Amino acid sequence: MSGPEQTAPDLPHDTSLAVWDLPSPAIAGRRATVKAGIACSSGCNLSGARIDVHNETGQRTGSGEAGSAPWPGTTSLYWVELDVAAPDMPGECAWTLRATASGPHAPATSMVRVVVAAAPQHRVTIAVTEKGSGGPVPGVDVRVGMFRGATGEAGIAQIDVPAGRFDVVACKIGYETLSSTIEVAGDIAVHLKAAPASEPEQPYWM
Amino acid sequence: MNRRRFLKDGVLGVGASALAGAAAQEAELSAQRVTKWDRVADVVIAGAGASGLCAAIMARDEGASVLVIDQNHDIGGHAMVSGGRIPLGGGTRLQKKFGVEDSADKVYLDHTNARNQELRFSDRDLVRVWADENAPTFDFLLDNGVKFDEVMPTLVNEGTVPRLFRTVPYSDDLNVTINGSPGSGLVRALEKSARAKGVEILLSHRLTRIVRESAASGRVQGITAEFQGKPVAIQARKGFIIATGGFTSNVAFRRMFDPRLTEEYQVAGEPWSRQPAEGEMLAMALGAALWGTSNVASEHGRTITKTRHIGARYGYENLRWNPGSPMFKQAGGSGLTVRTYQDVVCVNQFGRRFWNELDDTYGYLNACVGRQDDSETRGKLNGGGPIWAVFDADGVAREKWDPKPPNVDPNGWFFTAGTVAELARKIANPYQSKPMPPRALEETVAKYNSYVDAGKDPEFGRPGLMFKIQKPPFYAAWATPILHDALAGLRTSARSEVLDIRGQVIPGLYACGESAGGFALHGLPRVTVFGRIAGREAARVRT
Ligand SMILES: Cc1cc2nc3c(=O)[nH]c(=O)nc-3n(C[C@H](O)[C@H](O)[C@H](O)COP(=O)(O)OP(=O)(O)OC[C@H]3O[C@@H](n4cnc5c(N)ncnc54)[C@H](O)[C@@H]3O)c2cc1C
Ligand SMILES: [Zn+2]
Repeated sequence: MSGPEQTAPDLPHDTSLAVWDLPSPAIAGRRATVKAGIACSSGCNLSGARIDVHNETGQRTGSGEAGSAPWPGTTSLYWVELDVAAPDMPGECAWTLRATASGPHAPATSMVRVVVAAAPQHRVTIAVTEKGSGGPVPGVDVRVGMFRGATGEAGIAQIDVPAGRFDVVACKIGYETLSSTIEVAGDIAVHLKAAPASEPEQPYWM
Repeated sequence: MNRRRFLKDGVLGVGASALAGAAAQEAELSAQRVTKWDRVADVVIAGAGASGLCAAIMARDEGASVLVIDQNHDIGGHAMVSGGRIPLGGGTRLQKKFGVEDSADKVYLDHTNARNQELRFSDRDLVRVWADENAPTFDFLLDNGVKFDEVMPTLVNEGTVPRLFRTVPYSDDLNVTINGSPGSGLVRALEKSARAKGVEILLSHRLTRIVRESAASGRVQGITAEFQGKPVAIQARKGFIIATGGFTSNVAFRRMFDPRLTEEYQVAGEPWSRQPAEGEMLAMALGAALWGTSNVASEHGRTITKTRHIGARYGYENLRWNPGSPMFKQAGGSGLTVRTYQDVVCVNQFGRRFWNELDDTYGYLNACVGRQDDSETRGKLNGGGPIWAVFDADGVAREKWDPKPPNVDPNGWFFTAGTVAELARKIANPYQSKPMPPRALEETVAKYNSYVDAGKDPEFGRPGLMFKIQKPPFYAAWATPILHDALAGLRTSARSEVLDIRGQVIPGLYACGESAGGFALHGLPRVTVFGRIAGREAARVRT
C-alpha cells in the first residue's frame, strides 16, 4: 500500500463507491439485496466502513459494514451485501448510498436509479434452440421487458413477470440477437431459434 | 500606421529576407553537393518492403545492378506483418488452375466503376497499366518463390471475377516471420530471390537526400543515406526509386489530407515498420506533385479504422501482436479482441460517451476524431483525443477475456479499479491531455445503466441494450481508432516516373508502393505491380 505515506495526513483521501447486483427491477413491497463497496484512492484498508442506503424521502432503508476482504479482482474495494426495503409502488426511484470511513477519509456518496415493478404473477419459459441443428443453446441472456434471466444447460430460461405486453430480447456471442414481442396473461412458453452469427467477415485487406 | 513608413519597412523587409533566402539556399546547395560517391549501382531503391523488393528483382531481371537501402534493421516493411492477401487477376496461372476466366480489360473495368465509392477518384491511366500488369505480376511472384494458399480464389473489391489468393507464412519461426503473418511469405521469398539474383540490400540505412544535378532541373544522380549517424553517398546511374511506403507515421504529412489525424492515432504495422513520408518529402523538395489526395478522406477504404483489440497500443483488427514475436516488447500487449461492442461503452477523454458503440461505419470514426466537448473551445482543437472502452467484470466474463499482460498493456493503455471513479483517476496516457473527471465517468456509466433499464439509448440510439456496467472490477482499455493506409502519394506516370507540379517528368526519379498516389486500391496488389513497373523502367534507361 503506497498511499498513506505519500499523502499529507491532514489532507482527506478521496473515496468512492461501487454499487452492483442491484435488483433490476426491484419488486414493489419486497426486500432486495444489493452489493456496495468503498475504495480509497490511496488504497487504504476500509473494512468496517459504514454504508447506508436512503430513499428519496431521506429515510434509511438499509445499512451495513464493509467486510474485511476486498472484492475479488480488486486490491482495496471493501464491500458488503445490503438488505434494502424496496418502495411499495411500482415506478422509478433513486437510492442514495453513503459510505463513511474513519481516518482521513471523506464520505463517499452515490446515487443509483432503481426500477420498481409490480410483483410478477406469471412465468415465461423461454426455450432457445439452434437453428438448423435444433440443439439447446445455453448461456443466452434473455430479457422480457425489464426482467432478465439466462438459459441454463437445457437452453431454457424461466422469467417471472406481471401481466402485460413485453419485448423479448435474447443474445449470446456467436449468435444473431433475437427479438420479439409477447403478450403475457398467464404462464407462457416461448420458443426462440437462434441462428449462429457469421463471424465478422475477415476483410480482405488484413 | 504611416503609409510611407510601412512601404519602406515592407520593401526593405522583403528585400532582406529574399536575399538571405537565396544566399542560404546557395550555401546549402554547395554544402550538399556530393563530390565523392561511396557506392554506385544502376538502380538504387529506398525501401525493402513489398514494392521495393519487386522493383529490385525486376530491375535485376532487366540486367541492371541494384542496391536497396532500408532504414529498418530487417527487410519487409508493413508487408512483413500483412495478411498477404493479394487480389491480382487478369488470367494468372493460379486463376487458370482453378478454371477462373479473367482478362486485363475485366480487371480495368472492375476497378473503374463509378459506383465504387472507394476507387472512383483514381487516375484511370494508372489503373489501365495496373490492369495490364496484373497477371504478369502475379506470375512474377510465383516465379520468385512466393507460395500461395491454393484454394479457390474469392471475390473482393466489388469485382466480378474471383481474384483473391493469400500467401502462406514463410515459416513457423517468429524470428523470421516477425509475427507469423502470411505477408512474411511474400517478402521473405522475394528477399531470398533478390539476394540470389545479386541484389544488394543495405539495412539500417535511412534515405536522407535525393541528389539532383541542380535543385530545380536535371537528372537525379543518386541519394545520400545515413548509417550509424554517418552519411553514405550512393550514385544511381540509371534511376532512383522511392519505395519507402507512404506517410501514415508522419503526423504533419498526414494532416495535409485530413487535419483531424493528430498524434494520438497509432499506425497498423508499427512498431515493426514506420512510414515516415521521407521519400515523398524529399521528392516534393524537388518539385514533385501529389496525386489523388481526396482518396485519404473519401470516407471509404481504410485510412482510419475502428480498433478490434483493445487495451494495447496497436489494436488494428488484422494484426494481433504475438507474445512470442521479437517485437512484442515494443508492441506492449496483444489487446483484448472485442467480439461485440455490446460489452463496453466507449468514452472520450472527458469521460463521456459520444456515439453508438455498435456502429462500424465512418459515422463512428468521425465521432471519434471529431470535437468531443462543448466546453473545450481552446487548446488542442484537432483530433478527438483518446477513446477508452469501459467495461466491468461481467463484460469480461461474457467476452471470456483474461485482462492481464501479455493480453493488455498496463503501461498507459489499460487500467483497472474497484470503482468507476477510481478508474477515471487512474487513466494516465501520453495522449490523455487532462485527467478524466471521475464524476463525469460515474455519471456516464450511471446514465448508460439507466438506459439499459429502460431498454433504450435516447442519446445515441444504440440498439439491443442488454448489459449494465456495474460489477467491479472496472476496466478502461485504449480503443482509439488506428490508421492503416496511405491512399495518396507522389504523382507518377504510367511508367512510374515521378512528375512535378507542372506535370513534367523529374528525370531519373521513380516512385511506387504506398509512396505513389492516384489509385485508391488498398495494399499489395497495387504496390507489387507498380514496384515491378518502376524497377523495369528504371533499368531500361539508357545512359
Ligand atoms: C497489419 C497489416 C496488414 C495488411 N494486410 C494486407 C493484406 O492482406 N493485403 C494487402 O493487399 N495489403 C495489406 N496490407 C498493406 C500492405 O502491407 C502495404 O500496402 C504494403 O506493404 C506497402 O508496400 P510498400 O512497399 O509501399 O511499403 P512497406 O511494405 O511498408 O515498405 C516500406 C519500407 O520502406 C522503409 N523506409 C521507410 N522510410 C525509409 C527511409 N527514409 N529510408 C530507408 N527506408 C525507409 C521501411 O522501413 C519499410 O521497410 C497490410 C498492412 C498492414 C500494416
Ligand atoms: Zn485512504
